[in-house]
Amino acid sequence: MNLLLIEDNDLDIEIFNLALDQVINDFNIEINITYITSLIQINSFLKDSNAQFDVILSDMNLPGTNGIDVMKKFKQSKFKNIPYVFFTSSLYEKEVEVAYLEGASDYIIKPESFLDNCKLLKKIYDVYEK
Amino acid sequence: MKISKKICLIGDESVGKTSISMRFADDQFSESYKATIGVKLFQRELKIDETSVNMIVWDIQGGKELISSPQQYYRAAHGLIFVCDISNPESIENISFYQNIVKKKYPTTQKILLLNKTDLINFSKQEEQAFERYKESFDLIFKTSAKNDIGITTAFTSLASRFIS
Repeated sequence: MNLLLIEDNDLDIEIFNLALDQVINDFNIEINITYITSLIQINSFLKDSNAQFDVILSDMNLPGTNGIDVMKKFKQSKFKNIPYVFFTSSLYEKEVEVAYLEGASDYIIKPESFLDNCKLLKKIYDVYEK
Repeated sequence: MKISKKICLIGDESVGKTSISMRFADDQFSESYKATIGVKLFQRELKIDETSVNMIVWDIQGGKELISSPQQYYRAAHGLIFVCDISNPESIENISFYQNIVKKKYPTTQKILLLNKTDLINFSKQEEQAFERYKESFDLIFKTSAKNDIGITTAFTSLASRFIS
């Protein structure tokens, strides 16, 4: 599975990577991740990249922008058909509603435990791997 | 008058929560199964007397993990719809588990139960047993089939009616 992760928080990226290693080892599956950590990277990625992804996982709180605006950019680009999943530590009802109105596929609250992160990653793999 | 209500679906995986949501909001049904991760949202406006009730349906990932965790998917819900699959005894049994958690966390929220997948033949006995088991603890129980569009709109409309009564 090819996954694009839009996340600016170093600690969250580290936890994600540890969970990723665990899931890849436990289930003998292949998950390739491309990371985007800033608005500048988002803009250049949208302009230059021709990579193929099965799913985009995006934080809601991003420096200099927000997850909804970033998703809108992706939905207006060549990546518009890739499922866009929000992966965030906060849940605000109105924000979730807007996310769906704008085309989000799923909205996930980041799990607190390492084990739950592993379970979630495996679930993402099961649902979105083509 | 126009009001908006958050409705959360509770139940095991693959009992038909997403199919129920899709049938209610879009009048669609899909045979292919895709598990929900986190939450998906659906919406439909119901007209009850002179009131428009905007039913925002939170189709939340099935299973015991999320409802037991401190994550706030169910926060500020106005209605909780419990769903079990009449062909799956464990899903019927687990309604008690969900009820116990919800009773403590959301004591005043409106709650109804859907006995889903009534289109499956040879399970009428389980259907009756489930009905008997939970008739004391739910004010409203509906026998539903998302596949054959049985009971879904009736269930949501009954719940919406409670918000304005």
